[in-house]
Formats: sequence, C-alpha cells, structure tokens
Amino acid sequence: MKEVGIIAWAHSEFSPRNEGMSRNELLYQVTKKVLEEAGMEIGQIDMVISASCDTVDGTSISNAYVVDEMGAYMKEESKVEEDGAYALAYAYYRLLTGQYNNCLVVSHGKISDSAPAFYTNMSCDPFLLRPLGLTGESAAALQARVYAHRFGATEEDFAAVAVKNRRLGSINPHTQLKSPVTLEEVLASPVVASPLRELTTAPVTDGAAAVIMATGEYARERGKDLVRVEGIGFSQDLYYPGNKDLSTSASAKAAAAMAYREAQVKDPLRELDFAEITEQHAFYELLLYEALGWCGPGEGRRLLAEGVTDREGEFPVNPSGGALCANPVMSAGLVRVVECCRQLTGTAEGYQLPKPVRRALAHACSGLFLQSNLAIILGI
Amino acid sequence: MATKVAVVGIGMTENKSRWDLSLPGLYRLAYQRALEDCGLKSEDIDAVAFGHSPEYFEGVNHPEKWCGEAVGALNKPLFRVHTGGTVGGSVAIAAYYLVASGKFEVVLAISGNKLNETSSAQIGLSTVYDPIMGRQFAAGAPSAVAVQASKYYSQYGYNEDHGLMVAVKNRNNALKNPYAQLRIPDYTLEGARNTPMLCHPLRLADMCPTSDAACAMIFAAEHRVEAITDNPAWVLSAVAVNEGINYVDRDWSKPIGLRKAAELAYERAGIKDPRRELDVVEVYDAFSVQELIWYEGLKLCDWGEGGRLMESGATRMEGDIPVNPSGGTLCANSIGASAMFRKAEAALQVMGRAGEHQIPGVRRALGHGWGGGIQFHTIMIFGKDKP
Amino acid sequence: MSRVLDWDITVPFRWTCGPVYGRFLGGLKEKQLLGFECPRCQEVYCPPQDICPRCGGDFDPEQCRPLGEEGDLVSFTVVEANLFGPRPDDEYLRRRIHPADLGEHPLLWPPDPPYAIVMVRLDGAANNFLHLARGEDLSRLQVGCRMRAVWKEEREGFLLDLDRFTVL
Repeated sequence: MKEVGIIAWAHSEFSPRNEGMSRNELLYQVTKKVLEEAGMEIGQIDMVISASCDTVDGTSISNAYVVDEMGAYMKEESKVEEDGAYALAYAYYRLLTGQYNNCLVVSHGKISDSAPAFYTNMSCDPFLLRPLGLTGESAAALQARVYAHRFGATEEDFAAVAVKNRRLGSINPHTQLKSPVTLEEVLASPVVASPLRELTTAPVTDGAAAVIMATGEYARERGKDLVRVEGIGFSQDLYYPGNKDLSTSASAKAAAAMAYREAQVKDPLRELDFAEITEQHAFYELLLYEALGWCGPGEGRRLLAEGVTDREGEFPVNPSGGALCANPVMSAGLVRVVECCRQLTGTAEGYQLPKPVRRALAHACSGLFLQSNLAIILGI
Repeated sequence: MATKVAVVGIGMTENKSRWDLSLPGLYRLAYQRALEDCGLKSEDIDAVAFGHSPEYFEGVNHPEKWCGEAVGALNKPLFRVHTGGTVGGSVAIAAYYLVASGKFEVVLAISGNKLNETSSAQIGLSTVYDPIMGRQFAAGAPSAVAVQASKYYSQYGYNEDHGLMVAVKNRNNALKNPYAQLRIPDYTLEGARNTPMLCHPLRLADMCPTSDAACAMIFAAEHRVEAITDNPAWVLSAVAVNEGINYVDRDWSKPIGLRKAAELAYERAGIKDPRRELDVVEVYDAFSVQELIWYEGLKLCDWGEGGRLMESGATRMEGDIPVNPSGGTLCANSIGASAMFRKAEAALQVMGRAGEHQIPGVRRALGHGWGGGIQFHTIMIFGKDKP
Repeated sequence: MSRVLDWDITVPFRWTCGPVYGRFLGGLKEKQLLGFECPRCQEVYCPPQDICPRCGGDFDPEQCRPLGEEGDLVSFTVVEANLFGPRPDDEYLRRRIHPADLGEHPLLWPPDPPYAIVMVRLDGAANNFLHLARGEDLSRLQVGCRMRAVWKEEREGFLLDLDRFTVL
C-alpha cells in the first residue's frame, strides 16, 4: 500500500472577531504560510481540497470566490462541507491511487461574520428541532445532562477538563485563550445552557488552517520528513437526538474502530502516545475518552482525575489546550492534525510534551450531538 | 496503482415539483432505486459521498446530517461534498476515488436538491456572488450567463438562434426521457423565438426549469463488480478543474478550465480524438448557449466552432457525436442532482440501458458538470470495456 | 483600511413535510401526539423520522395511533444566555424569517431566556421527544420527573401547536 502523509502545516492566528481581514485574506495568508513551510510554490501543487460552509460564510458555494486565494486556479479541486479534517481524509484517499504527488488541504471559517447560534440552529430540520430554538450550546447541554445522569458525573468533573485544557493552552503560543482558569472560576462562570457554563464551552474563533499532503516518494525526493497517515476512520450516526443514546457517540466509536483497524492499533492507550481531540464542550472530552476506546463507559473522569491525560501523563490529551482554547469553525479538527504534527516532529515550541512521541490520534467532529466523527492515526 | 472502478447501479427520481416528499424522502427514493437497480442491500454499501448544493435553496445547513439515515448511512463513513452546480459530478468523483483508493469496495454517491422549497432559487443563487463586491448587482444565475452569452455570440458572429437551436434539439430529445421535466411536444425554433426575453440575450426557451430531484450512483471495485452485474460502466477517468472567479483576463466564452479538465480526462482515458472516440456526450447545459461553449471546451470542435457544430447536426441524436440525448439540464435542473444526471446518463448509455433515448452501440461516453461562478467543471468518462 | 459591512440574507422557504412528518404535525393540530409503529421492527416512535431509526425501514404514515400526553423527563437544559441576540420586532421577523406559505403561524424565533428544552419519553414510545418547558418554575425540572403536554388554543399543524411540557 502506498505511503501518504503530511509534509507541511499551518494555521492562521485565532481571534474571536477578525475585523482586519476578509475571509479571502484569511485564506490567502494561511495558504502562503503553508507553502513557505513546505518550501514549495503554488505551481508545484497538484490538487487542492478545501473545507468551508455556505452558512458560515453567508455565501452560497463558499469555495467559488476563494479559488484564487487558495491557489486552486486551473487545478484539480474539490470541496467538502465538513471540518477540514474530512478534506484531509478525502485527499488521503485520492493520493492513495497514485495519480497525484501531493495535495493542498485548506479550511476556513469566519463565524464572527454571523452568529454561531444562527449557524447551528439552521443545521436543525425545520419540522422538529428548529422551532425549539435549539443551538449547538443547548444541544450539547442536553447531551451533557444525559451523560452526567447516566454515570453520576458532576459539573466539577466537566470543569476539571476546562482547567486542564486551559492550563495546557496557556503555554501554547499559537492558541486563542492563553490564560489558565481555576476550578472555582469555571464553576462561577455564567450558565449558558445548564449544565454548561461559559468556561466549559469553546470560544468563538475566526480562523483557517492548511496542510500539504504528499506521497512517500514525493516527500523523499524533496528531502521532506513525512508525518504518515496510518489510518483514517469516519462515521455518521442518527440525526434526531431523541432516537439515540446520548451518553456516548456511536459514530465516534465506529470512526475509532475503523481507524484502529487500518493502522493495526489494538490497544490505543499503549500503542498511541497522545491525542488531540475536538472537545468543543468540556464534557465531550470525557465522553470521547470512552467512545474512542481509551477507557470503559463512565470511566472518563477517572482517566482525567488520575492525570493519565495530562501533560505528564502516560496518554496526554490535547497538549495544545484543545478546542476549549481555540475553536475555529470548519478548521478545529484540522488544527488538531496540525498540533499532532508539531508534537510528532518536536516543533511544539514551549509546549512540546516531555516524553518522546511517535504516534498520535487526531479527532474531528461535525454536526450536533456528536453525530459525525473522524479519527486519524498519525505516525513518524 | 489505483483499483479499477465501475458503476454498477443507478437510481434517479423524476425531475418535477415534489410536494409529496420531504428532503430526506426525496434522497431516499433515489437511493432505493439505485439499490434495486443492482440488487444490493443497505449493508453492502461501505461508505457514502453525499452531495447537496447551496444551503440557501432549502434553508437547511448540513442537510447530510438530517438526510444521512434516509440513504442508509447509519454508523457508516459519510462526508458531504459541495461545489455548487458541479456537486453531483464532484460527489460521483469522490465516490470513485474512495473506491479507487483500495480502502472501500462499494460506495454510494448521492446528490439532490429541492429547488421548489424556496420561492425563488435565484435569491439563493444571488448569494453566490461575493458579499462585498458583487451581490449588490446580482440577479441570480441568468445575469451572469447572459454576459457569457453576449460575449460568445458577438465574438464569433453567432446570434440568439444558435442558442435556441440547442433548446429545440434538447427539448425534442427530452420527449424520450421519462425523468425529464420539460417534455413539450412540437417544440420548434419559431416557438422558441417567441418566448419572452428574460435577460438579454437569453429568452425563456434558453433556460432550464426549476426541479426537485435526486440521483444516486453506486461504484464498485473491480473484484466486486462481476458478482453484482454483468453490465457495468467502467470509469475511465474522473476529473474536476477550476477557474478563478476574478482572474485577470478571464473570458467566460472560452472555458480554459473545462479545456484543461478535458485534456486530463482524455489523457487518463487514453483518448486522442474525442470527436471520433466518444460515442455520446452529456453536458450541463443549464442555459442553451452554454452547450455550444462546452463543445469547444471539450474539444469536440475548435474554439469558436461550437455554433457551426450545432448547425451541422453532428450533435443531434442521429449525428456522429450526439450531445444530451436525455434532453440535458435544459429540460431538468435541480442543480444538486444535475451534474450527476449527466454522469448517470453517460453510464446508462454505456450500459445500453438509456431506454428510448439510447444511442446505438455506445462504447465510450462522457458526462460533464458545470458550477460555481462559471468556473467549475467536472468530467467523467465511462467505457464498456474494462480499462 | 478594513471596513465591516452589515447585511442580512433574506430567503423565504416553504418546506415539504412529506407523508410522515406531515401526518405527525397534522396530529398536533388535533391535539394528538401520534406514535408511529415501524412495520418491520414494531417499535413505536413519537416523533417519527422519515425512516425507522432502529431498522432503517419505511414508516407507513397511516400506521400510527395517539399516545398519552404524559411521559418521563430524560434530559433538559435551561437556556439562560440569549444566543440569538434581542428579539427583533414582529414586522421585521415576518419579512425575514416567516416561511412563505405557512400563513399566520407563530413567528419563528426562540423564546426569551430563560426557557428549557426538554427531552421527554412519552409513555409507550421507544424514543424521546424534544420540546420546550417555559412559563413556570424551571427549577422543578429533574431528570425522571413526570411531564405533561400543554396545548395551544389555536393550532395549525406545526411543532409549537404543542405549547410546552409542564412538570406534573
């Protein structure tokens, strides 16, 4: 089987409201940056796969007006309307055919141009969910309460995730929220939708991300190190939240199983060195520990409390601070990939994990109630 | 080396206004018909590439989440592709590559739209225009294509009649296609000339209708094909190429993106003389005049010769290079499914299953898609013989 | 020098319910919470989707019967932050958000916080129904408590014909 991996990565600065740049400029800057990282010119790129969303951009066919900015002019191109990590997956499958040497993967979202609540409410069907005013926050809150009730988890357990990730984010120079928070501060922050509070919810972030993928042959010819894609899994489960068990995520389980199978990972906690996951809400992290197969149902908080997933632990999760420190819509998952690449290549300056790392999992999700999940196993 | 891939099943819904089915219901109909077409079951599908055009058509963001289980994507890999009018083509191409990668054996491509869910698809289409530089004067798709048409007609000494000739050809072809929306008997050039002018130089006759429709194609890896069908359509190439929207010196009447896509597609399919080696072509003619321009992009003739190719009769059903025997997008346009209909029609021609509008003896067929700001092009070429 | 343009996108919609959602919403107009039995796996769903979430089979829109109006609270959230910003005036909403052919049905805008979104397992149903609780002491909400449907006086075949669930 062909070897495919990542040779360069970049993301934009993250900010809650970037009024200094249009989305076109945001995308142009990140494309330029990733090409510089790779030491390549746009003419050397074979194909571009982007990720963006019409509703976020307030523009139908959100890739139409940014073709020039992402360097896709007169190139083979496609766009997924999912997180950038799904675009990476699509690029991976295309590169496996041997038809291309490389692919630029880019994603962008300037959510502050609209309001996140409108974006998530418009993701609801018009008959059963949208009239309720359901949003990403209230959806997650309903799920959090199911999780808490089933396993006896408390607000303190959720808050502990935020404390860990904000502490880790505070040493990551690239992220948005760089200040640590205490348990007391988290629990005293305003309730958004009970039991979720401001500080257990990801911030609003404008941003873009990009990676350049290549085949092993191409990387070697150019003398570039390759962060190998060893396996990818993705899955979607039921739509209507009343129809499924919200204390876990069937699609996250299926995605992880598929990725582990391809990468021949049998015991993820032992065989992987760390993970970056898209925990847009603090409790997602606990739920995902379980769904991604790192502990049994309800044991997520034990894993956290024992320090297993902390910076010095045996299986650090979100050493970058995760989505709770920066949550660029349409790019949050691809940024997890970027963070894995930094750690794996020893370039996470200031927040490099103390232990040597060779293999990691990056996770992305899409949709309300964790309906769609994606897992990528990366290795060097 | 890429796995060889064939189309083994196709499901289409009729193009019309659909007040009887919800959006998931419409997708489900195409999905079920595709399964029935090749005798597969839901559990035989490994992954789904899901297509849907701008969200401002139905007002539902991420419709793949709502519609996934209706197309059997329950705890299955699914991602959504969205490239505007080309989406049906981009989704088929995505499904092709998923199988060609060797990681999936049977993949469903499905795409559609319910354009009647909004009171005017053109309001949605106006949001394609850039919000800072363009939306202020946007009037949907016709205003852009009218500019393209004027440029084309004046540059090569053609006139409105050349577009209307396409309309007459395709509307008459559509009479043989039960899935087409506009099936108007005795459609004549004289009648077309008398339709109202909507956006100069485009008349009502030059424009596609508003349809609700979905289309599904099932792609299978070589080692699975034989057990599913003895009549597959092999994928010879699958290409999508972009032009930039604001590129300096851009000429809408000269689709260099399509030309590049065609050259790549022909090279990968081993085709040197497309006019001779292709037996039938389905192009995305949302507006009549575009068919002439796409002839040129596809190298069926030289730049500027599209109108004369039309006049020669070569692209009629009985000509040497029939184009749009199905009636094309000009007779049925849901946008979301249209570019896939072009691919599916081409595949059906190769299978010899196109029904009344079957062209005899087809061995190679091309399906095209157009989208974005007159900038995206998709091409798939299918063959009767395994590549 | 960067500038910021303020603009709305105004697109009217008319959403086709199809036979299953259509039958369910029609039931609400008659003060009925219809449970749909999957012809294949016999589970009863309220509300239904286009297809059975368990076995993927098609519902028969006629194979349904009214369930009772009570059930157990499975989950809830009290929305306290105003995520949509202040409610615009009705005239603006009518212009901007009102679906094209639903007549004079209530304007689609979330209630002013605080209000609750509740998940109720109706007696006899195999799934949970998401709806609202509002206009009462929301601190009474507890997972496991009994809830009952409260209807609007005027109904037209829309989810909010059912005004809310209330704690028993």
